[in-house]
Amino acid sequence: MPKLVIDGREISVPEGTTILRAAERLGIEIPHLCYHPKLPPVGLCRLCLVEVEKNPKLQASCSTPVAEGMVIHTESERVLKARRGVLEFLMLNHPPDCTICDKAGECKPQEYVFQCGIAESRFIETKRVNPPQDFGDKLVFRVDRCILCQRCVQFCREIAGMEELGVFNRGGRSVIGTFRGKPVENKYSGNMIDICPTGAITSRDFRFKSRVWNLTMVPSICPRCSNGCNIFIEFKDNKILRIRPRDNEQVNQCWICDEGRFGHHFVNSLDRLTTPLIKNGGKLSPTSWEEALGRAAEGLGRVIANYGAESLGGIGSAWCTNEDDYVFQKFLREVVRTGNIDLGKIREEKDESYPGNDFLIQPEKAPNRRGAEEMGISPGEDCRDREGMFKEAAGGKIKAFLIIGSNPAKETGAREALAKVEFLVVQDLFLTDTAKQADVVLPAASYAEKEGSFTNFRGRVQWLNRALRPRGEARPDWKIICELANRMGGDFSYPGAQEILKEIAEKIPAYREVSLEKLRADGILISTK
Amino acid sequence: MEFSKETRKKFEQVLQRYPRKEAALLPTLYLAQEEFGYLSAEVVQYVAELMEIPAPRVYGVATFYTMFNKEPVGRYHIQVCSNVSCALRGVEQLVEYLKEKLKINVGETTPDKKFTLSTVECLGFCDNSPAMQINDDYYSDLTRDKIDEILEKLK
Ligand code: SF4
Ligand code: SF4
Ligand code: FES
Ligand code: FES
Repeated sequence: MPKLVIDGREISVPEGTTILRAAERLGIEIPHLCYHPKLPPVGLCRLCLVEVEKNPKLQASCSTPVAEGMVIHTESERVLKARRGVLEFLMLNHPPDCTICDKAGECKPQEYVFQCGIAESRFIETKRVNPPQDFGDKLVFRVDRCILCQRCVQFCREIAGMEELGVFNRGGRSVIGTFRGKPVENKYSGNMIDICPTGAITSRDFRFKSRVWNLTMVPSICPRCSNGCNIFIEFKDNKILRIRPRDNEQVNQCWICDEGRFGHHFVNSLDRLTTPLIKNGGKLSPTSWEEALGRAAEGLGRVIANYGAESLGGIGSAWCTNEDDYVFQKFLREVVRTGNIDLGKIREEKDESYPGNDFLIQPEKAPNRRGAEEMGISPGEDCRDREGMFKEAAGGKIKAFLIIGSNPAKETGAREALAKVEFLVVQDLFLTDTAKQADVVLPAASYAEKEGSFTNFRGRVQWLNRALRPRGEARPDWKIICELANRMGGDFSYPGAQEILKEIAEKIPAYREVSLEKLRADGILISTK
Repeated sequence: MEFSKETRKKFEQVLQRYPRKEAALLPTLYLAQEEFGYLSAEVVQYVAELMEIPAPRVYGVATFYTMFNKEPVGRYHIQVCSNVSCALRGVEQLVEYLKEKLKINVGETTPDKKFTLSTVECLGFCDNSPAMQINDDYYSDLTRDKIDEILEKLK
């Protein structure tokens, strides 16, 4: 391991480490623009120049490997002068439009120019103006803000596996662009918004919605498929404004897909249920929690009393947290005493003809199928699975359903079956076709409005933190179930999802290692059976 | 759009000369320019498919080199050197002269499609500057008279 000295401090790093990486280990951040830890170093921007003693020329630290005995200065007068010079060049054609630029506050050149204290430009010529270019409906490209670091080009080529961007023309006339104006179509394109160090690539969805420094960030897990990418929910005034990736080397590195990034609008949708509803004279109308829960407990209780516990069926959800599903099945098994439990149907989608590198997206379009099953959302011995339940409902044997977070009314046969039952309770975010048929509809909190855990398809259990207040009067599913259970003779007194997690760790062998601390860090792989 | 049989053969030969297919991109673009006159977007797309290289990368290469024409050019493509040696020897006035004589600007083609006028980087004739290239021929030690003479001969 070569030993070297950076800014007077000694360090040994493995052969092949670049100067920039070695400095990082000492906590020294060398300003850089084109270098990105997940992309091959290209040495384009020259901002990362450092002085290596005995070397007449300054060296690009992002692409120069360390060598034994190197003595490096990252803040010497020569380096600072070069850095100011490079920045001045990079800014030559850059419009001074931070005031209206979405990147302001998280823009790299802005930060570096500020650090270097360059107050004046000596450039008196006219700034280059290039015709605007359309990158499609997800990205907004402002060519004049581009400093040609080529991170975006590299990203498309190396990570997304679809080389949709190129560098055209030469020298001072170079521009980034798509070929023949073809929109950028790879499913991971939103990551370029994050890695573009400037405001050249911004988000069509987020732009102009807020200055970034007014957002609150809460770590969470993406609910759009079973990969379980780590995200930050970024919000203002109780509204999600954008989703960004959160580093987790085990799951998504520093990336997320466009579905995960832009698919958050359902949370803020005006169609969300805001109060409980009960059916009176064939019509659903708003009511209080008290009344709705009372009606639900009474209705389910009546069916059990009249036809027995096996006349009740429960459909759990791969959209709900482990804590929701655990409490749900516990209620059915221990209070209702039925094993007619199964999971709502999950949309599966695999794009076989996708030409790019589909490295995150899973076919399962729900975050927690595996966790739900492991929590016990599956039929007990001699009990009915989903299809069996609907068949028996159609045949008149199953008389009531409790359905959380799924919409079976879309499935053939299920709609008719649901129409036949005597009593139907549905918990959901929206008034789905299933909810429309219900006698009691209970508004549930979305993933962003509650705490809990998801288990991704590989078996990694990860924690969601609450970002928002629930919409209207919505409540987390587990809480609703607890209330219901307590009205039906149970004693479910969990103060919060964290206590449910503790019980899961005690009761479910595969989950014995889980703890809040581990889940909050990188998550934990459950022991495989 | 497709290479003629003859060009196709040349292309196969070009491929033989390089260890990797991608390395043959420049000569292939030349062949395409010879065959189709200039590198239109369609031609770039065709070459990209032929070479199995993403089109944006091919287009990047095509636009990097001034030797590749992205627009149709006239029968005679006059490329005047605009680099240092030629500039010191007064090439700017000669460019002005050509503009007046042909009644076009740099980058334009005469209405009869006979001449296109461009300025390019060093042609390697610094010792006999000012210099220009017309199609595949080079002319050096240029003066107004010499230019008259050269253009006169081009039919
Ligand atoms: S658009 Fe952004 S990432 Fe791409 S080259 Fe320009 S500055 Fe770099
Ligand atoms: S891959 Fe799946 S989990 Fe990851 S961001 Fe996309 S939808 Fe979300
Ligand atoms: S970061 Fe090293 S050259 Fe750009
Ligand atoms: S500068 Fe004109 S030929 Fe070299």
